Amino acid sequence: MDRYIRQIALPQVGTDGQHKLQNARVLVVGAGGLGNAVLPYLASSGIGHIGIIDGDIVSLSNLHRQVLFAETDIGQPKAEVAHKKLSAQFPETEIEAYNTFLAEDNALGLFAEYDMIVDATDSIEIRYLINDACVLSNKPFVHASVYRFQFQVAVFNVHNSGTYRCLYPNPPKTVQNCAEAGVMPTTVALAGLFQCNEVLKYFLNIGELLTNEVLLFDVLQNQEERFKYQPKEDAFITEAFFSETYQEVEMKPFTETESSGLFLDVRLPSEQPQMSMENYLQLPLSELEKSGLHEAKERPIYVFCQTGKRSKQAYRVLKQQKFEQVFCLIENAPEINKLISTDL
Amino acid sequence: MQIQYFGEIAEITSSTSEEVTLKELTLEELKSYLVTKYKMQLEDIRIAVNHEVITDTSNIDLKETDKVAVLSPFAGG
Repeated sequence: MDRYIRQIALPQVGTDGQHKLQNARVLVVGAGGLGNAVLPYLASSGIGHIGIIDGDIVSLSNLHRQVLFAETDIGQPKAEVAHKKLSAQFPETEIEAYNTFLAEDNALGLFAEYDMIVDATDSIEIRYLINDACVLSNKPFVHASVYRFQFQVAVFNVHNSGTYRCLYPNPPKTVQNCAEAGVMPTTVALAGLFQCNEVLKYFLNIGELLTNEVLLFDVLQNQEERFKYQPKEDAFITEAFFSETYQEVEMKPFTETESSGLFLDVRLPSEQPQMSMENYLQLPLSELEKSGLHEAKERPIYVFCQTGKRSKQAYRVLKQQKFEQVFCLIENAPEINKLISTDL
Repeated sequence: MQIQYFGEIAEITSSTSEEVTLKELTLEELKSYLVTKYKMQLEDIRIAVNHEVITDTSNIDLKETDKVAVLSPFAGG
């Protein structure tokens, strides 16, 4: 306890508070820029049990902001290196490293073992996966994300507070990650420290958590804005919804299809180009969702649309309907049309 | 009224804020301004009026003094 004497001295912490931190179990998803800021302070403040999940390895371009890693760690698994460094510095903390990526098949099992989840990923899809798995397993989570010199922080799903989907209902079509957009180490570290601070407040039950609002910080202007949002009904996030949303879609190039299969176009009849091919069926996604597909279950089905978004949705509907061989075509109507016309 | 832009949205608008004069002062008019001028995808953005994110899809009246912000998810971490 001597190690924590300076924070125990705070009336908001005390010995009781320190025990709360010691009993807390926190899972950090991602050992990148955010994870590298969150993890040392979770451990140093005496959080008793920390999980680190990341399937990535250390690379040279990580080092400027992922300060747990040294040049000699390049090529090593991030989760394991972070585990080693933190254990050496904070031997009282029980640390578990998972050298894998968070996915549909491990999220629920893993979340069940922790009290709170820290979203420290750089992928929008995984943020939705974390959100939905947290709703299903009734776990609170602390979110942060960075765009150049700005970051967002929020705490979701605390005693029925709003979730990430209340703030941002659906994944956007295009967003850049750090690698594409560029980032300073200090920006991502500040975001991570805000996250860590919310984690500590949650377990100590002090201050105001960032629930039902999102904090937006601009480090160039030192400007802080907070935006409130309305929590919405999240009953639609069920286990069935979860597995349909996150199960992996099987893709196939058009050149590897069997001509006896069914080519299912889920676009509207008005969309161009119009297709002229054998074993072709047009059934708009909305109709497929409403009435299903009435075809032989054993025949391969190759789904496509205009850009590949609706076909993935259709894939999940068909899988739910127990069709055995469903594939999304890598190419969509405009490309397939070209491939067919060059054949002729 | 003043509109603030964050993250990638500010890259699209090439500014972090601007002063806009709307004729009818409604949310629909604001949305159509964002779509027409900047080709924003409405389903990818959130509009906040006076620091409250608008979740209701119905049209609402705005005031000249309202502070509008356009938000979107960030990916980086």
